[in-house]
Amino acid sequence: MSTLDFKANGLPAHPEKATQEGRAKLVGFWLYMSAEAVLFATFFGTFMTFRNSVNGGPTGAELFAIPMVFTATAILLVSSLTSVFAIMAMQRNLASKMRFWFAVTVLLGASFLGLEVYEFVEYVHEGHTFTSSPFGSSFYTLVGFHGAHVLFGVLWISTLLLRNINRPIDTYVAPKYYVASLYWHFVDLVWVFIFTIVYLFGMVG
Amino acid sequence: MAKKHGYKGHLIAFALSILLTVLAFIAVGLGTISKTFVIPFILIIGIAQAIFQAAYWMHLNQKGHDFPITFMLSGFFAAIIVVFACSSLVWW
Amino acid sequence: MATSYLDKKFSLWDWLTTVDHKKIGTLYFFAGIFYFAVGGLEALLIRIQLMYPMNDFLDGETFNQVMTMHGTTMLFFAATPLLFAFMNWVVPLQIGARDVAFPFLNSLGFWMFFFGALLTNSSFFLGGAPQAGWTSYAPLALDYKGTDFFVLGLQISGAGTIMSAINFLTTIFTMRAPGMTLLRMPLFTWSTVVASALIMFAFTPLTGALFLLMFERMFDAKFFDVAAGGNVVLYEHIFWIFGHPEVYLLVLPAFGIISDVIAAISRKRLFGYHSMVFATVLIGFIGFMVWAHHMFAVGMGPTVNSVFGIATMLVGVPTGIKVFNWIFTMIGGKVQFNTAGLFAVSFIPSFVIGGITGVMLASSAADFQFHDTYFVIAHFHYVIVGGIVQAIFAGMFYWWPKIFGKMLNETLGKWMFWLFLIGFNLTFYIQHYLGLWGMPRRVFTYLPNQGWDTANFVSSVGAFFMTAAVILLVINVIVTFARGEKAVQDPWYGRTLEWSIPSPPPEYNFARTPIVRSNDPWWYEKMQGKKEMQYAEPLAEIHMPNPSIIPMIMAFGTFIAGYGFIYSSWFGVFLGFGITGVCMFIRSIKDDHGQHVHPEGLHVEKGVHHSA
Repeated sequence: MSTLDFKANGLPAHPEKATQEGRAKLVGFWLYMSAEAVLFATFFGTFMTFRNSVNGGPTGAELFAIPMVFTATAILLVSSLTSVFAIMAMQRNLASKMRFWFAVTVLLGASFLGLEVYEFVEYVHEGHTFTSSPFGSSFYTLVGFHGAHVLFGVLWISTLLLRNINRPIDTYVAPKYYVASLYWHFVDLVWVFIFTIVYLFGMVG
Repeated sequence: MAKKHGYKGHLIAFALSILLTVLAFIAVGLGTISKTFVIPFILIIGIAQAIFQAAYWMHLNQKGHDFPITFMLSGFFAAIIVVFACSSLVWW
Repeated sequence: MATSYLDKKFSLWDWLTTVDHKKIGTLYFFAGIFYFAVGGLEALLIRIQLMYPMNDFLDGETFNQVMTMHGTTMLFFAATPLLFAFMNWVVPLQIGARDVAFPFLNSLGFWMFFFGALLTNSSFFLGGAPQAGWTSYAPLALDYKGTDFFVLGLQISGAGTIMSAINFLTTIFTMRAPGMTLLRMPLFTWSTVVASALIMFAFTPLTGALFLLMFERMFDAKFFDVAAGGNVVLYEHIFWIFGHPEVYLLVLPAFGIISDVIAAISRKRLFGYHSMVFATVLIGFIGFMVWAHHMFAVGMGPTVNSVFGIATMLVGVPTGIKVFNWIFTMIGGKVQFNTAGLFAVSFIPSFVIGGITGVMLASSAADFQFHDTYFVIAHFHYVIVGGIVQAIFAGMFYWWPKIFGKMLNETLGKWMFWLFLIGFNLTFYIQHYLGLWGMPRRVFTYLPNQGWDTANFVSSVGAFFMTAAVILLVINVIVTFARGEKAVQDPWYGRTLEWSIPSPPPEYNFARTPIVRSNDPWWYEKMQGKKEMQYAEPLAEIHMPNPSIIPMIMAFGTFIAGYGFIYSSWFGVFLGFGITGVCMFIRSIKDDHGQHVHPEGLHVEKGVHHSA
């Protein structure tokens, strides 16, 4: 980034990368995500291994319904977009706008979680539980692990918002916001693979 | 730089994501297309969408991201190996 | 002369809260040495039991526990932290940085390792250690309570290991001194890059595999329940996708240490620097595609076995490049055979023997004979003891003066070297033959007159030699701390940046950040007739991180939660994760801007500046 990118209001155009700590945080977080991708891959692999080992219980094709999965997907995609908007607002030093978009992101994340809980309860009623079959175990491990990430993201961004509710954007907090939004995108990106490999593959059979 | 990645660009990226998602859901929802086509098709769509989001929303297309890209690709490589091992070699 | 990082009066609080990479390295080192001694004691018990046929020194179950914990301890709680100690000590110094990128995370990583190791080892006193081998294969491992300790201890320490790896990589990528391009980094730093990448991508599958094992044992999952459609081979695959890179991530830093030491003792530039870097990266890359050679006997068929066999043999190419480069570095150099040099030089043939037997094991047809015999034991002990442990000893004698400001005793060092070399070859060389004569591994005893009696006795005698060597090392350390010779700044006439600063270094390492003008930057400046490095900045206030007790408490929370899981107590789980969560919360809401210290002068004045 050239120093000519400075904005009139005193914040660099990329406040998240303005300090050595910020740059390190970004690189470190990317490394974390690449490692986490492999952890998710392990659970994806486990799921792929057992996706037909239903042990007499309901199969994916019987369980999964397009409307619910599509709604969940749409919610996460939109929330990813709103967190992009939040970061753009941050880079333009528009603090309240950024807070608004992050708040929307958190709400969408929470509604995704609500939907997921409802979905799991539904499945359990149909006899698809964690202990019913290898398919069940690997399904709940993978999707539950992703859900735990969503929950963590919701808590993380909420904490960040509440902690800095009255604070203007500066080069100390900017990397924190930026990294939180990266995390949110990552969670959304994993979901792309979950809806493809778990749900859509499952419906095809 | 800020102009190139404006709201409009992100909205286009978002529209494309939604389009790819809908396409995948339709391909499955129709139920008439053969399994051997649908599975690779939606997988490719999923990967395309992931790359798209990583590039635009996570700003990997901006400069100064050499290390992140290297490591995301390495991670992807390791991930492919793990998934391959589990999904095919286990039942070999 | 500036005050060193060790000059502060000793206080326990200071060590518990430290975020200084040199002190964390020291913590890693002593924890690692402690577990090295524990693992060594377990090895000694194994060898005493196997000294005579039908010996009843240990019963079968105890033997299995000791054998399992020997492997687990040595790999996860001894070798890994010892290498992490060197990475912490040396890497920031070699790249001209004042600390690591995330000092807080560095401390957290250490404490996670510490409590994870403690948790696993506490199993000895809480109803029996894990006894399914360090691989802990399902379904065998599912039958033992000890497996819970294995799973949770490794889960906690593994998380710490992954954090530290990310930390090292970020440090190396973002904090190099001006002029220190990637292709000017010393080999040890390069090997840290590749080893850290391997940790990131190999420890994560292990985390996954441990989760599967944990869910199966604690929450009645069905992954490995064959009757319900589960599959036990899955665990083996995931485990070895971790397990093979694991040994490379241990041996690559060892290569790095040897490369640095050999260049220094030969007083010569490392031969073929670029090919060394390339070979390091290539070994890391191929390391991910060979895991199934641990599973030739599973029955994947000749095609899969051949593919993995050939891939495995490919590893010999970059490794060969390295071996020849070390030899060519020494040729024409003025080789100094001090203790570090002796260990470095004897590393080469020992490692080559381990490498050659590795290629033998890679031929899948022959492997059906070698599989699960002492041949395998001999192979990987040549790699690990002859390779990694000798490199750790070499690195220890080489960098000790820099870190502690005192020279380890050379006479004791040389005695130790010869005892160790003789003992190690006595123990493990004969085991190749034991394996070829058909002795299976992991048996607690054997019948007399099968031709194994003498060989086992010889092997056990060797173990006592190694024990004596390690005791000499401990004496050496104590003697050195008590009245060791004071080290000068550059005792080995070194080449890399760490020798350009005082021994031991000040808290901030470099009062002024140096400019790097060449490979082997310190050697280059010396050859230019300079007495010190060229500097990139004037002397000014230095920004340093604040110490914190939070990492230790945070790691302690996971330790409690671990016991909660083991004893199926939700109270314990919530209490533990509650402690960790509160620590994370405090850490996120409290701004931490670090502190500014003034270099030079004996009274290092500390003022806290909130510069945001």
